[in-house]
Amino acid sequence: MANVSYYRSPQSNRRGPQRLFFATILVVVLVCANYITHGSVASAVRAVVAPLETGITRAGETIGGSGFFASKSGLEAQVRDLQAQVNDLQTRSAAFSVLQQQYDSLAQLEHLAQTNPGRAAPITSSVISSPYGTFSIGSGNTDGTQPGAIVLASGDFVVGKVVQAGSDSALVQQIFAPGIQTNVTIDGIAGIASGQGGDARVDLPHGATVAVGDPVIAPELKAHPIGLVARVDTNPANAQTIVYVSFPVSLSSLQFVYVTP
Amino acid sequence: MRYARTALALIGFVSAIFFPPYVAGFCIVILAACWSSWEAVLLGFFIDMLWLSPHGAFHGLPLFTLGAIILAWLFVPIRMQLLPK
Repeated sequence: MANVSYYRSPQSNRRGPQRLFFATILVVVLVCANYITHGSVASAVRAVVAPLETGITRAGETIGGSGFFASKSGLEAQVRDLQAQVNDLQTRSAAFSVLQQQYDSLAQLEHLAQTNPGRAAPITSSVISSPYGTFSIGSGNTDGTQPGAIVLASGDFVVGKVVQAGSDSALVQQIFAPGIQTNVTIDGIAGIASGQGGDARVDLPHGATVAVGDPVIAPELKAHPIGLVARVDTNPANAQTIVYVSFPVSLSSLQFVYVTP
Repeated sequence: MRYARTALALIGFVSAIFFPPYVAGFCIVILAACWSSWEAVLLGFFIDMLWLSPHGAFHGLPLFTLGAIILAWLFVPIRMQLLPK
């Protein structure tokens, strides 16, 4: 049996906290530098990680496609196809209800007539890994992507806004990220959508008539919809009607987004 | 124990990129609890640099960096007390 000892020499007892102290100082300096330079340290970190992530993902796809995990990859492909079909139908249905409401008012007809200048960009990071409700896209300053640009998914739904842009990549803050507030209107009633991570909550005046499936429009985001009403809590004990808003498609199924300034 | 520490740090860095945030958070807690771990502090910093939005919740405060620093230093005196001299 191996002789495992938890004895620590005084020297090694000192060395641990010393290294921790230097790491702490280094990190504090880098965080301050990141704030002063408006995110250049973060952009550098993301620039290093992005090709690594793409490489590992491609390697995984190559191994999967080589037949090593043939039965598993076959099933996964089937699931992906079916999921894509479901998403497509959901998006069409959601887009249809948005169009229906927009046709009801002239103001929204105007918005329909407008075109969105911009460009398509691939999602280059996982959308589940961020504790802050962010993800990276493969479009940066060189493509004209600037902080504040609106990021759309198919069906004209707003996914989020660009908050930091590097040379070839940008960080997108999701609309439904925790703590993010967006002014919205539902059936002409104004409210504030508070992101809860995955969905959002809107408090409307008691008695507001809102139905499940109604589009939720964000006037500040060029009147694009940000989601659909998923649930309405009309408990008479509450002073307000609580509306839960969800995105019509699964974010993890998206591969490309559309960036419009 | 050294291999466990390295493995845990590697798992933390990989999971910060690919897996849900609680996996990396768990690695930070374990690293900070078991060792005077500079890796825990760097891992917290790495997560924030990768994902932190300046317009996010808490005014863009780097929560994982601060959490890792606090945890790492919080556990130092506790570990000194508990481990045999």
